[in-house]
Amino acid sequence: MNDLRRRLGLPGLVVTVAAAVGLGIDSGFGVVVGVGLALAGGLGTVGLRLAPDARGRAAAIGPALAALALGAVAAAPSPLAAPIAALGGIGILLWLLDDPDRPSGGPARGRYVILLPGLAAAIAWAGALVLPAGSIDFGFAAVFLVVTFGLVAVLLGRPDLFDREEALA
Amino acid sequence: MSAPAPGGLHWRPRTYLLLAVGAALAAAGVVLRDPTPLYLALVLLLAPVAAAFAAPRRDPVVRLAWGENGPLDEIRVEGAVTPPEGIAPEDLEVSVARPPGLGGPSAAATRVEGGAVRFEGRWSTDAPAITPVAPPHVVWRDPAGLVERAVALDAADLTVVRYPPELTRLRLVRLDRTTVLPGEIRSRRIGASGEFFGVREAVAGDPARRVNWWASARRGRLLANEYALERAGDVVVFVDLRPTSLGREADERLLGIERATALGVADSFVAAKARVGIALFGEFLDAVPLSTGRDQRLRIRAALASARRAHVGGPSERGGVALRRFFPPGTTTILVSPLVDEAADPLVPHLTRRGYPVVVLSPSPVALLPRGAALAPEDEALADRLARLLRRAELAGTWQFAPVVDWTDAGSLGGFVEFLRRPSPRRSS
Repeated sequence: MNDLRRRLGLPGLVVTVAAAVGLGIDSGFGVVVGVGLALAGGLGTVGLRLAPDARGRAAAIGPALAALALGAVAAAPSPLAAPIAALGGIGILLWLLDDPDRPSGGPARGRYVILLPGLAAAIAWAGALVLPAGSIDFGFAAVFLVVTFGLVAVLLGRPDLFDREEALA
Repeated sequence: MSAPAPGGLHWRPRTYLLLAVGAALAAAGVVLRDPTPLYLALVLLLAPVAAAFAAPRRDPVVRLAWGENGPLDEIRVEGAVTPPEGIAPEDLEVSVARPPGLGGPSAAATRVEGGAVRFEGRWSTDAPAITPVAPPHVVWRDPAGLVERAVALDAADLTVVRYPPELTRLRLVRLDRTTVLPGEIRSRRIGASGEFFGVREAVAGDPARRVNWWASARRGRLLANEYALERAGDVVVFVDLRPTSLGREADERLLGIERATALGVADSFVAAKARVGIALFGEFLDAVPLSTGRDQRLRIRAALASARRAHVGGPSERGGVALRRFFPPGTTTILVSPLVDEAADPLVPHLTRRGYPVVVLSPSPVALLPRGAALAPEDEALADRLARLLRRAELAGTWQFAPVVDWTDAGSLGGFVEFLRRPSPRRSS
């Protein structure tokens, strides 16, 4: 069971497909097409992930990502659709971290890949909810401000980031 | 020490996919005035940035400890790649490709264990082989596979050598001593390095105190002293690297057998304190002059590991003439050659006429000849028998000038060793 979970990247896939289904239910495609699209994307990803060919496995993220992106574009704007789309993106990243061709423990070692975008999306959403209507741009401004502060803090903490590689003769 | 791979941070294909989809979603969000695609775009666009920040700031240098073992027909290459502090071994991608000429899986199996990435490759060979193993390709890759960075290796090179074990008995063969270079006379002085034996061509790495300046001045080129407390004799291993009419594929197989065999013969005689030289004859003749000891063994190994089949074969007479420039006449010469085109351009008589006692070890190409796909088993047996008879007839011409050992079983050289120890009339290995 654990092996199958890793081979399919189940946690990430479930989150992604659930988000795509959530977006599909309220999409302009209609419920059946929207949900069908989401499920087809999930099935396509599962099929490619189980492919014996390494190139097929490398392209496995394509169907689920396409289904999620289509769902996000077609979804009717609502306070819930935005975090669901962001959650779907997090699911994609979680799925990438759970690569069966690499040593286990990817999600734990690569938590920063999830934390930074997740934090940014959470701040944007919170800003959009808390701020008066029509002030979504403030939410995004807050995200960029926080990200900028974060980057400055990292750069101050690690001055060696500015080191240059010695040129190879 | 292996040369480091080109350095720097590299985005992987899936990063471009995320960035492209993220950019398209951002554009769609702006055009449709809909924040939902923007939220997904935000996540997809920031993920590669986060991955890049977690990457090592410089190309890390990892320590590689590796070696090879196994019996004659199996090669096990094992090793461990240990990352420096601060880098998880799980984030290292290590791939070890199968060395050329060997059979088995295309790459070694890897696993993370004890803070290092361990790898084990099991490959097989059905003939003597001398094959350099390419150092593992190591990159650091973030857990999401978005970004990678080249990793430099701190390791010694590895060469796989397999030759029949009977060659170790070659040290029992009695070799003739040859003395012709100027100044090669007995000395009454007994130095710290033993009894003076003679002089030879100086080679790179000889210390200045070993150079015989008087002999060098007379000869016009650098000559070095040699000491002869335990020296057994002289032998030249002459490897025929000219292309044959068998075609490129068969030539490459024969080349692997010839190089490994020459190394085995040279190693055995060097271990017996004999002076050993190597002559590599393709279009022209390259040589490792006579010498003995550990340094000479390494020189011979390097020369044979880099030997390649020539595109154009030099005339046989050139081989005989050029040999005189490097080795004194009278030196026992072991010619390793398939003798495929010997009838058209004979090499052996040119060597014997110039004073070299030659023994020919000839890897048989019969097993490498292309088979007719439509032949019935009995027809195939008949064709095989005819090919062997033809080969025997071809070798008979060479027997007029030198003894020939027809080497038919690539896994054993017992017949050749016995022949050298007790030369007798025509026989097959």
